[in-house]
This record gives sequence, C-alpha cells and structure tokens, in this order.
Amino acid sequence: MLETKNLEKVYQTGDRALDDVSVTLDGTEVVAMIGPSGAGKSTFIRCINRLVEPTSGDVWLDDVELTALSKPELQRERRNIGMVFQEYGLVERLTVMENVLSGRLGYVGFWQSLRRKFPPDAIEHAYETLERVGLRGYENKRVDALSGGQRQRVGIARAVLQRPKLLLVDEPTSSLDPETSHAVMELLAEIAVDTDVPVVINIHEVHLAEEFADRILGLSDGSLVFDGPPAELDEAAKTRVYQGATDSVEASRSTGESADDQLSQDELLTKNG
Amino acid sequence: MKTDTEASSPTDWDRPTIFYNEYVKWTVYLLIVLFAAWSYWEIRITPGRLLVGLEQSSQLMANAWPPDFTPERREMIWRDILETLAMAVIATIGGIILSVPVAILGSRNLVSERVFWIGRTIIATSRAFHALIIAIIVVKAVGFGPLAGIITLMIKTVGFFGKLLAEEIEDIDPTQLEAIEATGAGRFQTYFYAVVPQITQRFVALSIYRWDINLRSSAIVGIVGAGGIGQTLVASFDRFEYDFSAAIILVIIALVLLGEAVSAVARKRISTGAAGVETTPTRDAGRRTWNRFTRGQQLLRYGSVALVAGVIVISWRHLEMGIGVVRTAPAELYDLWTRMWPPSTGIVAEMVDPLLTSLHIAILGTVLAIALSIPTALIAADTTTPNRVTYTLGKLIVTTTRSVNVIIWVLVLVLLLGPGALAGVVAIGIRSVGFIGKLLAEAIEEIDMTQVEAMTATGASRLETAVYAIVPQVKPAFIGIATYRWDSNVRASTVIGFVGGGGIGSLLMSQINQFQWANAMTILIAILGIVLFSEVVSAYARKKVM
Repeated sequence: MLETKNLEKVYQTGDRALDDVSVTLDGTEVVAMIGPSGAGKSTFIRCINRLVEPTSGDVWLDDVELTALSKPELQRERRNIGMVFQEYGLVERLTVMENVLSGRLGYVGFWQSLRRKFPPDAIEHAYETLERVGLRGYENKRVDALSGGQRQRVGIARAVLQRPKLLLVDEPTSSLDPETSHAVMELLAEIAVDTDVPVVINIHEVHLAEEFADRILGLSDGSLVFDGPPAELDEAAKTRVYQGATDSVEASRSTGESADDQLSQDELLTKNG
Repeated sequence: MKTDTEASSPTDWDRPTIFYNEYVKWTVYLLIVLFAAWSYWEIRITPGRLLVGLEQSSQLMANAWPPDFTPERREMIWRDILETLAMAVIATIGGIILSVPVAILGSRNLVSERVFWIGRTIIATSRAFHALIIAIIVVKAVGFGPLAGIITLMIKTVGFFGKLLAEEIEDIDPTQLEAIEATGAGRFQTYFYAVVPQITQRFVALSIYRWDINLRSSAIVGIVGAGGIGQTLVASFDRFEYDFSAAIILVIIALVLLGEAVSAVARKRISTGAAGVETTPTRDAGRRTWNRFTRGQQLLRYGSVALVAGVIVISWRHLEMGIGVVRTAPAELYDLWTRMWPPSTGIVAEMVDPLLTSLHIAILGTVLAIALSIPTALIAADTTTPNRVTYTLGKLIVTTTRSVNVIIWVLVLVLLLGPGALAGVVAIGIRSVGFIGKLLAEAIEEIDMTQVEAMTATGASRLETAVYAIVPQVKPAFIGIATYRWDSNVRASTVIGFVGGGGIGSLLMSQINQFQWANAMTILIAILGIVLFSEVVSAYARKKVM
C-alpha cells in the first residue's frame, strides 16, 4: 500500500510542482496519472522514491515512512520500488541481460556486480521475465541495437526483477508510436496482475489511461483535481484537469464536435508540450 | 529450444565478449600487462631516482626563478618570436598550396586506383614521421636556419592537410555537380558553383587550425637547428642559463595559448558567419537588384583577404630568404636521397635495442598519463568536480601540460632525472595528461544522467551505479583517447632521444651527424614500420570498442 500525505514540492526556482497531494493506493490497482505537461506528474513519481526530495509531506510504503529514511535506509528501500523511465533509462552500451540483472544490484555485493556474477535464481528469473515481455533470445544483444518498444520492455523487465512492492512508471509511451504504446500499456497492466503490486503510470494519452487504468488521478498545476474510475472521467472532469489551456485552444475546443474531443485533447497536449 | 518450453530457464549467464572467447580475452589482457611490466623492468624506474629528481627540481627552480626578462634578453626573445610566427605563416601557406594537388591525387573519386595509392603513400609517409625527424634531415640538405624549418612544416602540412582535404573531396555530393552541369554550365563554372561551396568552409577552418599546429611545431624545430625560438631555448640549456630558459618557455606557452585562442575564435566566426549570410533586395531605378553580400560584408571580406595577404608578405620579408633557396632546395633533397638509397643492413643489430626502448617509453608514458589523467579529468569535468577550486586546478593542469611540447618537457626532465629513458617516460606522461584529461573530462560531462538515475532508483550503491551507469558510457571514449594517445606517443618516443630522452632518436642523430645516410635510412624505415604498426593497432582497438 502506498500513501502520500500533503505532499508538496517547491523547486529552487520557486515553481510549486506539487501542492498538497494526498493519495492512498491499495492492492493491485493500475493507477494512471494524467495532466498537462508541467502539471507535476514526474515530480510526484520522483518524490515517492525520492529521486526528487519533497519539500514537505510524508510518503508511506506499507509501514515504512519513505520520507523519514536516512540515505542508506533509502537505498535499501528503493529495492522495493521498481521504476520505468520515459526515455527508458537503460545503459545503452550494456547487453539486455546486464540491464535486466541491474534490477538486482541492491542485493549483490560490489565485486559480484563488477564481475557480473548474479545468483542463479536471479538469472533464472531474468530469463523468465525476458520471455514474459517477449524478448526471449535477446539477452546478449546490446540495448542500443533495439527498437524503442523493445527497449521499454527491457526497462519493464528490469523493474520486475526487483520483485517490487510498487511499480512507478513515468510516461512509458511518450517516445513510442501508437501501436507500440498500446502493446506496452497492455504489458504493464498484465504485469500488475501477475506480480500483484500497485502500478502508478504517468501518461499524457488520456485514451490509454481510460482503457487500461482501474483508477485515474488528474493533476493540474500541482494539485489533485480528479480521483476516480475511468467511467467518472467526463468532459467536465477533463476540462478541470486541463484548465491551464491557452485561450486559442479553448476556443477550438468550444467549436468542436463532441466526436472530436479526443482530437482536441491531443491538440491541446501538443500545444502544451 | 522449441521443444523444451516446459523446462526451467537457465540459471547461469556469462557476458558475451568482443573477443573470440574468454581465453583470447584474458590472453590479450595478460599480454598487455606483461608488456607493460617488461617496459617497467627495462626502464628501471626506482623510487630513489624519482626522489633524486624531486630534490633536483627545487634546485632547478631556484636557478630558473625569476625568469630572465632583462632588456637584452627581451630583444632576443622578440626577434625569435617574430621568426617563429613568420615561419608558421609561410609554412602553412606553402604547405596548403602543395597539399591541394596531393589531395587530388589521394581522392578515390577523382583519380585512378594506382594514382590514388601514390597520393595516399605520400600522405601517410609525411604523417608518420615526427616533425623533428624531418627537420634533422632537411637541415642537412639545406643548412641551418628558418628555411629548413619551413620545409619541414610544409611537409608535415601536406600530410595533415592532404589527408583531410582528400576525405573532404571524397565526401562531395555528386548530385550537386550533376545539377549544375545540367543547367549547361561550363567546367569551371561547375567547379565554382558545385565543388568550391561544398569545401570552402572546411578548407578555411582547417587552414587556420593547421596554422595553430605549425606555430607549436615552429617553436621547437629550432632544437635541431631549423630556425625559430627553439634554437635559443636549447642554447640556453647548454649554457646553464636556466633563468633565460624559463623566460623562453613562458613566452612559448603564451604564444601557443594565443595561437590557440586566435585559431578558435577565427574558426568559430567562419562556421557561424556562413550560416548568417544575408541577402539584400534593394530597388534600383524601379528594378529589383540582388547582391550576395551587403557592402559592409563585402568590405569585411576584402579586408580579411588583404590582411592575410599582408601578413604573408611581411612574414616572407621578415625571414629575408631569397626566392633562390627555394629553387635549389629540391635539387639538394634529391642529392640527399641518392646518398640514402639503398638503405644499409649493417645497422640492424644495433638498432633493435633502442627501438624497443622507444616502444617501452611510449607504453610506460601512456600508462603514467592514464594514471594521472583519470583524477585530473574527474576534477576538470563540471559534473564530477567537488568545487570551484578543484575545477580551476583541473583546468590549469590540463592547459599547462598540453601547451608545452614534449621536447621541452624532456629538456627540463633530463636536468632533473639525468639523460635516459626515464626522463622520456615522465615527459611523455606529463605531456599526455593534459590531452587525455581534457578529452576524458569532456566525455564525462556528456554522459546521460537518466541512466545514472535509473540505477540509483533500483537501490544500487554509489559504486555500483558508477560501474553500471557511468563506466559503460565513458569506456569507448576512454579507450579511444588512450590508444590514440599511445599512437601519438610512439611517434614522440622516436624523437625524444635528440635531446637526451632515450630511445631510437639518439642513434638516428648520431648516424646523421656522421653522414651515415644509408644507416639513417634503415632506421627511418624501421621507425615508419613501428609507427604504422601502432597506428593499425590503435585504430583496431578503437573500432572494437565502438
């Protein structure tokens, strides 16, 4: 279970990226966080594993208060939180297997990691996971030889190898084409069921969020403005989430037919991005 | 594999190696380590000798400080500096003019296969020999003085410029040629519209860059009597006037840094200027006219050309060389050639040992440089340096070690450590620190921080993060830089013997001084061999780690 209480982040530049965000995530749900660029989605995810230090507020994972941990304690606890990155975050020049096994770095000693000697069960798990994400036979390929969709699968496999209690996914589809995006989201949803952990996905494609998420969080200008199942995400709610839109886009939205809503939604995101 | 999907997955995995197999890999590593150990054994570096050197250095510092800038000395330095500058200018212009035909010979898309190989052989030979080796021969052919230096630098320029220009010509986009030809343009019109615009910018940038390199070289060719400030420097060492030596070295550093700055600024202006060309529609008697440049730009262009021409004329007049010497030089070089060919075999037994010493010096110098440059790079990269003070220190080490030529380092270190291979090793090591440190720092600054962040997020320790996310990103650059430097160091190790730094250089010098030209030729061929060998090895290593 993940819980954030009054989470707040103010950057040194004075930008308030998160403002009093309190959320509780239970069980195995897939939670999609939507919102315009700059709404604070990435900051929210990074405040959970403290790649970004929150300014105030608490984060709890099960009965551990992440925000209260010392550096070494945090390092140990991070092993329980898998993360999938927007631009994959893979070590490009290493093989697929090394990247996947790097999910176990927190469990092996320095010399073992230097010699790439991982325990047999980790290697077995790595092979199984590669098979699971559809990359069987790719273990000795270098990551920079893979396509975008394949790389993101490696990123997911690395997170799975951690046997995490929570999976954080930051804009997994932003560098992928629509078809691949769909397949990656499908995989993430299945992984959530397989591994029995909650998954938080930042995503800017609202239709993917609606299709795959059990629950949607809408973030606007650092504040939580929507929290509910996809069915409840109606036009009014979308407007609330994307209210920071420019006038011209607002104008085009008001003249558009309802069937074009998705289109204008995308248009709006392009303008914001 | 298709049938046994029920079987459990493998439980062990080995990283694939770029070598044929693990045994080959470890054999290669072992050989490298053994060779380095052999080098170390041969050079006999003992802490005692280094300690003596440290003691000597305080003594030398006391003698060299303050630098001797008395009016009389200032005048000498000023005269030499002007000569050095003039040599660099004339050699650059002459070398470039000569290198155009050589580049055409070496361009695969313009000439037949046989001519191509002749062109490339000229280029490779002139690149393989260190400027000082060429200088020592040219001095014998045309006598002491700046002319020898100019010829030397021209030969080096032909190698450098010919190669890069040939590559540039080979890269020309043929569709542009076709398109201009298709409009019905004549041959020369086609050249001016389709070929010249494609290579002008790079041509000018390379010319300026080569001038910068020639300036560095013209400051040292005087060590073997080929004119410029090097002659005065080596004389000051011979007369134990170390305070004067210090003054000269400081001036050379200033000159080199100034040349580098001028060259960098000029090259930057060229690359940005070309993009910023403006067209000016104006109205003239009701008709629209069009000019490629505004009047101001046109004046600036004519002004720059006039300035360059003026510098060339002044340089030529300053050197007070008649055109006559240029006419006789080819004949004298030909005469020398007849005395060198065929090479003698009598020297072979005698030269094996010093040749090996040169290789040892290059290897140990590179190892020393790597050991010193890793910490230097870490403090000179703005992403890893602890604070401003260390950053400045790092940059300072990089700049000072880089701008002093290896020969000058040898001159100084021979005083501290005594003549021999040790001085050569330390000189090459110090000179290479700046080079490797600078490029490595740039590589460290360019790494992708997302990969580091991703490793941190898995709960990896700082060391593990460094090994998994930083080392793989920096490794290809590191191996590339190190092997490239080793390759350069092999060339350097063949000349440091001229000033007492050990290796094949001293044998070559003694043969030339005794006019044993056939022996000298044999040594030159051997040097060519090891230089080409090291170039092939380093190019192979670079290709492997890409």
